[in-house]
Amino acid sequence: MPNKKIVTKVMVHPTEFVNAQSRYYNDSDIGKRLSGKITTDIADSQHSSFFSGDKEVTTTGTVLNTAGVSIIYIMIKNKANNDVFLSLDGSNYKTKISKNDVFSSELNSVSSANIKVKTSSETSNIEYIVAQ
Amino acid sequence: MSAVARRIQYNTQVLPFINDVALEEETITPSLKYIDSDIKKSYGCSSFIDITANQVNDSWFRVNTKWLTANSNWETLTTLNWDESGEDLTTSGEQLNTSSTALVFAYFKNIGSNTILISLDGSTYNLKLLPKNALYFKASSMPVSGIFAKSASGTSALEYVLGI
Repeated sequence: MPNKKIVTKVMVHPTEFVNAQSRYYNDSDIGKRLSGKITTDIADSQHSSFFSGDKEVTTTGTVLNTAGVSIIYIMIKNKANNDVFLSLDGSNYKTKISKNDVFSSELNSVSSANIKVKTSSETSNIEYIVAQ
Repeated sequence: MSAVARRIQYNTQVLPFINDVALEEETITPSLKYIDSDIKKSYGCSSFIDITANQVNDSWFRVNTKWLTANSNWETLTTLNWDESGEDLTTSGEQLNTSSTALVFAYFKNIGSNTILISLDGSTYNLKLLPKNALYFKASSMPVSGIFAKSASGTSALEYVLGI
């Protein structure tokens, strides 16, 4: 059994504004909080670039894990003001990570060379785990 | 589908652990979990995003899938059982919503028994959801119709929210 594991918990609460009470309540369509928890076993031996607590992101797409391996887990936290955009195919940046937000997911064996981040302008700063 | 205003609150906790601790004379598996010795910290966030009050159509969300599907399939339950009646994702990719409006926020949870794969373009399935696993993200430069899902094997069931 791998020694390293990552436990991820997410909670999403869709709400809807109610004029009479002047506040947000459970969304009337969805009607409840949504949540999930998963434990991901990652390999004990990881490349030195599998995590960083201080990575600058620029407008040029940058590969995070440079090992050239198949990635099964990703976590990115944006620590700075500018949005960070994530690509999982090396060219299309379809996920936005705003200031202080965390994106976390298991991946379907995505090549580390295709996992890139960039900003739309200026720079930002992230913490990340990109693990095989 | 219509409302005065809609807001989605979200939070994430990420806890990197190790199973075993190597001491000088032996390796033990502690009852308490220890933070990963490389990463040395946990991560998290808590925030919200405002989405459009009036969503594109009734397919902007799907929750309680098994119950609703079982209800609509009531008359055909002679050929299904309760567990199978909600297992509606197959190994063929399924488009979750046909709207071409820009996607803002997406949430998915695997409420079935087999792994689910999510695609952001209809061809490459990069995101993976094991049973009971959930994920969410803010979208950029992609239509709602770009989201596809399929079961990695057999059938499975998906709970989702696709907000514009």
